[in-house]
Amino acid sequence: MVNTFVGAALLSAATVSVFGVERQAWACASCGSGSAAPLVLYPNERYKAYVGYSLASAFEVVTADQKIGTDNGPVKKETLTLALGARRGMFFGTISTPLLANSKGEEQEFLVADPLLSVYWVALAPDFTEPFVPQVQLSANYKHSVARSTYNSKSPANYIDVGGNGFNELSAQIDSWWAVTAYKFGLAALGTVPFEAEYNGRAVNRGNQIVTIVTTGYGFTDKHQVLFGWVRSQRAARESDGEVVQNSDELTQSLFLTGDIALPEGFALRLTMSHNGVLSPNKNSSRSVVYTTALTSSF
Amino acid sequence: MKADNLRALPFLSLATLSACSTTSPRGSEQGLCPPLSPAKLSAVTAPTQSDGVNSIVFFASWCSSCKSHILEERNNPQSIFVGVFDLPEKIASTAQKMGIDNRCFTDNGLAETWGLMRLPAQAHLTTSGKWKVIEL
Repeated sequence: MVNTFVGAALLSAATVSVFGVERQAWACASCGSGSAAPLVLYPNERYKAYVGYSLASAFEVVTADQKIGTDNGPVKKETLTLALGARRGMFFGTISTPLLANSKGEEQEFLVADPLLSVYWVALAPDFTEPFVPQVQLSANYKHSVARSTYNSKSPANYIDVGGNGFNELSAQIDSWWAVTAYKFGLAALGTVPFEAEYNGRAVNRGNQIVTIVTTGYGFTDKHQVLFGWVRSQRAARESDGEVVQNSDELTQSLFLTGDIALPEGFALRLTMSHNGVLSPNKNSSRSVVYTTALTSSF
Repeated sequence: MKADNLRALPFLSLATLSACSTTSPRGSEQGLCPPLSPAKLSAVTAPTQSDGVNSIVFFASWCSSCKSHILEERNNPQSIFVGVFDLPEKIASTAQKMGIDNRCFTDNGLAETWGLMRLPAQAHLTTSGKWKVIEL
């Protein structure tokens, strides 16, 4: 069989809007309940590849006074995410690149979104003889901004060419995951520090971000499981030329539902539906529904 | 990155430290499961004897579905248990808790030689005297 679902739950598409990168992931002994990267590796996997397709639609904006309005951006965003990972002992690294297709009416734009480099350390591995001791996983991530953002879009009327948030970012994460039994539970926190960037002659600094993820789930067998989770993303107000832009802080609360199926020969399938911004309150945020299908293969 | 942005880092550092503090190895349990290499396999399994070992159960402490296979084979005197893809101290600790520490080994090349990539897995001795590995 494929690897056991000892742990699981790198939630997925919930993060398309939360982190600016898509992050489907996988249930495993070396994964946890949340991750910035779409791919994590089991202790027995030296190399792993990931292909994920996401379809995001039903976009709405949430204003600073928490009112929901029409989103003038693309009505459909399709993402093909490719990722590779390699493992050595308790460490593994991954690199992922999302390819985007934004659509609105007759207009369509293909672009390369921001790649993400991640390094993981499994600080505490799960142990089936100690089911109440969680797996603890730490990671550091670097996102390199290559795609256009709302700051430098050439299509400000519909942002059809936007594929990222416009800032290089460093992030670190701690992820604890109880999943040795059929009932799963996870807590994860991710902190992101953006680098300052210059747009239109101004030094812009996006605020620091803290994402908290709570996951619960059930494993029907060691090959099938369902996960459900809540993602809370909070970002501090941005600064422009050193001045805090009043009322520009952000809050997004999302829910996701994930099904994992382990396939023969080291393949695995993950299906995720996430509803971003579905829980109130949200602020300076966007709402959307994202469906993701992801396939992984170890070799 | 501005200096103000570094305010977030203490949170992450604390998280790291708290996680690290729980990872001390069980040094006293090391050595309970001696290494088993392909070259040493025949000496351990003694396949010429009719009551010799005819089953090898592969396991890891992180593989929760390995538990049921260990329990199934624990009372079979012709089975031995080989920990793979895991730290030696974790293999020894798991073997001790599962009551298989007197027939436990730590993989030293068997998985690579046999192309084992996934768990749980079991190897059976065929009538021709060769081992056949099944990833369960």
